[in-house]
Amino acid sequence: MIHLLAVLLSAAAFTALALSIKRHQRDFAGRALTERESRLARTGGWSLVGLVLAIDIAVFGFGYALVAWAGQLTMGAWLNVAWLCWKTGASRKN
Amino acid sequence: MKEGLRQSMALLHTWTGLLLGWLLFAMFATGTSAYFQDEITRWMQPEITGSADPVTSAEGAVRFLQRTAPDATSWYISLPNSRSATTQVYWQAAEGQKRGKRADTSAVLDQSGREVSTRDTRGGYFLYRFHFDLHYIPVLWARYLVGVAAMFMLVAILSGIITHKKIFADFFMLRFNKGQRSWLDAHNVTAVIALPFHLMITFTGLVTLAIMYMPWGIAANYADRTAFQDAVFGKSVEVARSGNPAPLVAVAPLMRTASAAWDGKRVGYVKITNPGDSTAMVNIARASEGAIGSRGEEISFNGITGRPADHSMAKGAALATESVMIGLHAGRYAEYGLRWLYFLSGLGGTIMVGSGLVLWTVKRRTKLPDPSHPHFGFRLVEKLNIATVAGFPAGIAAYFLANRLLPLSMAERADHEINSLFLTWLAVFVWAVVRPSARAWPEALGLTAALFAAVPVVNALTTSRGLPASLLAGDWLFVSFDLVMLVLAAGFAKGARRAARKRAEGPRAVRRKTPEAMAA
Repeated sequence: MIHLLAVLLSAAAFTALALSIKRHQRDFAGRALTERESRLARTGGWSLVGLVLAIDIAVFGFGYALVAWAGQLTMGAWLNVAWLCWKTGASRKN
Repeated sequence: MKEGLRQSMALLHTWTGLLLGWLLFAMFATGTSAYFQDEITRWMQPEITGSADPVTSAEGAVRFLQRTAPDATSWYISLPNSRSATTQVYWQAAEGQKRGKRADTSAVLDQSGREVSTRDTRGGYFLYRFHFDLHYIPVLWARYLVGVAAMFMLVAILSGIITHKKIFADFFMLRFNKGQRSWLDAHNVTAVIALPFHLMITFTGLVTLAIMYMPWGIAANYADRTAFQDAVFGKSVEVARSGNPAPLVAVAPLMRTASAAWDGKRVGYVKITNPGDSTAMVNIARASEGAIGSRGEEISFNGITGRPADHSMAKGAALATESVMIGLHAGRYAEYGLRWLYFLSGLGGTIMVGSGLVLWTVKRRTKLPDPSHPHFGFRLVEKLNIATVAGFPAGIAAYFLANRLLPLSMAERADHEINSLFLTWLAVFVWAVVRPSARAWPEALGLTAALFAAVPVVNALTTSRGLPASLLAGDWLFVSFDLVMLVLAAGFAKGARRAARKRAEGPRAVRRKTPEAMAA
């Protein structure tokens, strides 16, 4: 269960990090973000990455946490790719 | 010859990736399945249900061995872990006695010490061993071959990172379905997203057999291999039987003592030397699931009095590092959540290798002088790609099907299961050779999909543990196995459909198969 939570938080982290990059903002938010919003997304994204690690360390202990963290971030990134694929696929059909 | 670093790295990446790519694909596929080797074994032994307690199992195993091999030099008892239910025992025949076949000095027991009466199969263990021992060829050759392949893989990963210009800046550009580039995208996505896993798994994979690949350090510093092992692991004292019979101490209390010394972690392995003799020793090792490091703690006990003998030597820094690296590779310590993450990352790695192989042909096809009659090298790569990317998974599906379909009383049944894998692989290869490649792709992928889809069906028809029954019983191991088979079938079916559509669009069009279809 804790893995599921961590994967979802990782996915949110990557979405936020993507939002902080100018050329991805249209894909993810549908519009360009303001400077302030971008900064917020960047801070939020990295904070979430850190939060996932903190949760893992609290639950599993340091060594195990590092491995779990890498795996969860990977799956979080996958979810973003999957979502983008689905979105591109859906928009092509319309 | 003024080539940039990036071009030369791209060249290196292309050829190190291709040369042993087919072997790497099979290694990645079986290695990935090995994360669930205990579960695969349980699926392939449907007669065995329930779980087993290590202490009860050890007592049962000792009773079995006292009956079967009372005067053996040593007994080796590999206890069930939290995911398996059987005990594997081996014994070393007494000196002077003829060494029989492996089957004569080993047995699989249930926790009460009776030999299990289940179909003859090597289960998930075979796929695990194939990952580094291959099959039909001597183990030593296989391990060198596997080592060279893994080294190529490491070079391919590192050169790939250099080739890919802005790996992190482009991170979110990764996506599929962008037409001509989709093979490249599939390769990039699977490679970049699980990059930490790929680097870790390839490097630690080499470490598992590092002493074999790099023997010179030991050769230069120690008189022989035994001297090295004595220095690193502590002196192994081999005591000859005294000839005075003495009853063996009960193992259960010793196991509890050991477990308590390791914060309650399970015992994984019990070795008893000179059983029944006054010189008997009991050596107890921690289960590999207890910590990341694969070389666990051990405690030796006097086999008569049960008093602790000398503890094994504390591990030096180098040994501890090696132990953690091997542990990271094998993932035996991982509980189910992390185990699935390992499995999915491994699946991504398999797709990375497969898509890389196909990419080689996709990139060259348009540059061929006459695309309808490609040269021999191109055809060879294309045929091997079909045979491996579709054929090897088909072989694994056939291995599972054979487990359910071969007669239970068949002689050498386990070997025939394994032969089914390779015969299927061979059949797909022959098919790929005789058919035009554009047709062979959808046909082979379709066959693979059909075979995977057949697994849950055949399971339901031949055992009482089919998908509906296991769903009702809450038998999540069987449910998950069948569902993974169905998802794989769906993935290959989607791949087959894409390949067929590409063919219909015209022979010059670049075929593609969605990676998410393969991933599925």
